[in-house]
Amino acid sequence: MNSLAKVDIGQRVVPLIGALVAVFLIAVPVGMLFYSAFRGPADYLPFEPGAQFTFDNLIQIFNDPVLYTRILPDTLIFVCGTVALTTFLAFTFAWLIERSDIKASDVWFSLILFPLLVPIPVLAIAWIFLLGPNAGWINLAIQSIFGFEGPGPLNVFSMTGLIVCQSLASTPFVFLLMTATLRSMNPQMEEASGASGASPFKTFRKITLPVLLPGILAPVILVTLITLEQFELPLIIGLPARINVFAYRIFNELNPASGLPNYGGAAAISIPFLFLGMLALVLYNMAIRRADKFAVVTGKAYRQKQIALGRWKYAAYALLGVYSALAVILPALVLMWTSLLGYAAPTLDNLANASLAAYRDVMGNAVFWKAVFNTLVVAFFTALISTTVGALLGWIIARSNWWGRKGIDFLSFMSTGIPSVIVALSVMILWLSVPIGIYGTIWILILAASYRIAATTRIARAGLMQIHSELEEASAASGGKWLSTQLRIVVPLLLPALMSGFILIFIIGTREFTIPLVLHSPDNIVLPVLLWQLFQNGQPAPSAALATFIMFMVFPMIFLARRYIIPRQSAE
Amino acid sequence: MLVVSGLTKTFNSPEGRNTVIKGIDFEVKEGDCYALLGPSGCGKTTTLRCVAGLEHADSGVIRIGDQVVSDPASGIFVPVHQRPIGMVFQSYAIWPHLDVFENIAYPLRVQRPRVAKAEIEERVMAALRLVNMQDYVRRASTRLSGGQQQRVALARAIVRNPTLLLLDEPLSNLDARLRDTMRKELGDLIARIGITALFVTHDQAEAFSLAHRIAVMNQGVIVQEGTPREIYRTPTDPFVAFFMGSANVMSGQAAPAGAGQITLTGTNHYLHADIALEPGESVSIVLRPEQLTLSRDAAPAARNVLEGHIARLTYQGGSMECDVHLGGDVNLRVPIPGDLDFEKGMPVWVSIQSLEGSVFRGKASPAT
Repeated sequence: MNSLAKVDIGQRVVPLIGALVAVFLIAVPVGMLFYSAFRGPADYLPFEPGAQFTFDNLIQIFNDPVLYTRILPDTLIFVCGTVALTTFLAFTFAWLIERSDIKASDVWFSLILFPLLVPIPVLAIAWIFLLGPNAGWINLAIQSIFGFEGPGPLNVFSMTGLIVCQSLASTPFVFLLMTATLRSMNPQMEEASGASGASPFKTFRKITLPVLLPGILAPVILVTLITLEQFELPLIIGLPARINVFAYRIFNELNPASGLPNYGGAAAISIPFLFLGMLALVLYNMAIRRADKFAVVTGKAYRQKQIALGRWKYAAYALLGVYSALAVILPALVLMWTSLLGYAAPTLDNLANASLAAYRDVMGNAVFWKAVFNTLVVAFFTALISTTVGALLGWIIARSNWWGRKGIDFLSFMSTGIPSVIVALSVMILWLSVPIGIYGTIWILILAASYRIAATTRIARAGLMQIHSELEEASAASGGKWLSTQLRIVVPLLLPALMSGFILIFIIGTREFTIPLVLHSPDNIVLPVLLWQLFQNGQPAPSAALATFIMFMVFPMIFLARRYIIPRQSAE
Repeated sequence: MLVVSGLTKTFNSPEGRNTVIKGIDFEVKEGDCYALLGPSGCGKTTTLRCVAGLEHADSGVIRIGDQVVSDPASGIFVPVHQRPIGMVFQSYAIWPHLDVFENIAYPLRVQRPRVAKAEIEERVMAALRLVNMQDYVRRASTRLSGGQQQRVALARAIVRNPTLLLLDEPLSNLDARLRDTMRKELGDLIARIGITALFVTHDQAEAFSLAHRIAVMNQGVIVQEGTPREIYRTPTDPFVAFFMGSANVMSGQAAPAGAGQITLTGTNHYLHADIALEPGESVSIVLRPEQLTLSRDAAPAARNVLEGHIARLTYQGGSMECDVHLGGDVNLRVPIPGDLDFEKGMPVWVSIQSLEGSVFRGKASPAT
């Protein structure tokens, strides 16, 4: 009798560990950040002897006129421009691929996806090679065709350049979400409009768009949030153009041109930034709920009727072609060329001088191999932790009736809204204050990057919802304890979902630039950071060689992503 | 009113070409309710969608009233929104961003020349009253039950007084009890407004209770067309006979002597039918429940009385289903009153009232 009444220890302890790890990964660093914002003097760590409670950090940051004359306007223009252009491109492409009779939609799909997989510094460097005012290929081409004198006419180092580049990079993610939305619309909604006497155009305006609106709005809000936290392009392209956005400002407080890192100031400026993120997430949640209510995102995919483009198809192919050229084909070409020939102009005559010296240079260096190793190890362990924690949180949310599971759900969801530069800052302050030798190693990168548990939690929860709880009960009725039920029944059934979450986080991990840059040390260098260093040192050929290497490394991931992640994305 | 002739439709998919309609003809008279009845995949929904203009037919002519709306041979295709139709979809397709009133008002709002505001109001309310939804005018459409969605869909389909009402499996999304209620209401409503209606169903009870005429479809062709009574009483095809009711299907062979004597395959029994058969010819026999009576007493002199024993009794409240084993693996299912004193294993005699319309030449097809 006693053994029957006893609570299954595993059921209590194992998910609890997941919850605690989640708190440790997210709440502790963010708490630390808040605390630091109120500790001074600014160059002191919050627990350092001599540090005390103060409002100075906040006062100093918010009294700084630069915030109002430069940072806020620059951020606003950058975010609005990028969101507008990204939304236009992503929706147009999603509609063309899902609903129009466009040819080779599969090829276009893969091309559009490409920038999602490549680390942004790789693309940034390629765009500089293409659109740089002096030697950019596209500028050279325009100059020779129209007989212009250099430099220009295009300049990547400008607000327009930054917005265009960021939009090219952000489009695939929004595109993916929008294809899922389009696929989930019941085509009978449109047919009913036709049968009511409405023309196709009127149907699109009065039925299709309004019904899809919440499902379109949600990704738009998400991309607003993502743009707000963007750091890579504002650093690589924005900084030379003297564009000063929020995320870069935080980095700048930590790495000032002169003087000591301003921990308190960086923390203080992060706080409004975090609240903005939370606000965006609340809006996102509202849009998703409305989409749910519209039964637009039901998880059911309908076979959509394809609409004939007629003469519009030329415009469609042109837009897809320009995007693919700027986001995939030309970047790949310019990187390969530069890796072989440096800044030599792209002519057939020059081709004879091609040399593999840059590759020998890069690969002959021990730092390169260390970076390869670090990149893979960090991506692997980040994916492992995020998937495991996500699965446990998913279980708590979907299966348990624990007190505080709403809080766990919120915590996991909130992680989407934390910019990586802030995570890096929080983790930096935490592990500088707890000096047990983690700072400067690859483990701090893993601990920092593992905060991304929102996607893995959601995937695990959706997977669990599809596993009927009777399957677990049947195992219990056969005498299986909770842990063996989970390991023998639930985990095998959940494996495809877990796999997809793992691959998603692994891909994000290999692209990670912001966190490793902020937490960078000679020991924990990863490929994108190494690439940035080479480029900054003015070595075009080696940096192009490294970028080409990274590009080919991530190439197989297109297939992984298409096989494991996208079907699941659209099923959600 | 509606005339369909020589209609064909082939779908091309990556799995290959699939001809779902293989040349069908039918006509719906003014004010009639006409059912396309058949199993899933028989082409009935595609036929309806061709009439609506949601699919392009490959060939054949569709005429609604005096207007040819589809005739690929002469390049005529009137798009869906220019056809004088109202349509109820299987999923109801109630637009979630519009409330009940706006859903129903939509066909009037998109109409040109514009319909006056007051008239829209009036007609929407009239349609709502017809479907008994006048208390839900401003209800959000995401907060409607299945039955309410169905009513709104119906009101939306009739609000602009279409010439032809099309219904695609209108009741299949409702649960069983609600389906009975809605079937009656739908029948009443169609009769009251006197609209010409074409509807698609796989449920023979639905077709019988709603339709004036029925076309039974199978594998892209109309197998039989007629009034419900004709189709039930004198099926021309074993498929139709089987599809019409929970019928027994058996195979047999004409006796060498001819004269309408049939051996039931797998048993020692004979049947006598007034039908000319070649000696040795294969036949299939379809027996409906009400053709059969069960008795515990032998009646040796009577024609078409088969002896067997009770293999299984299934109690169903007011009645029982009795499986009578006739030999081999041949069983006949006979309904009997629930209070009869039969037991499993008992010897019984099944008498068959009339074999008219029950014997078909040729082997019983696997489709049945």
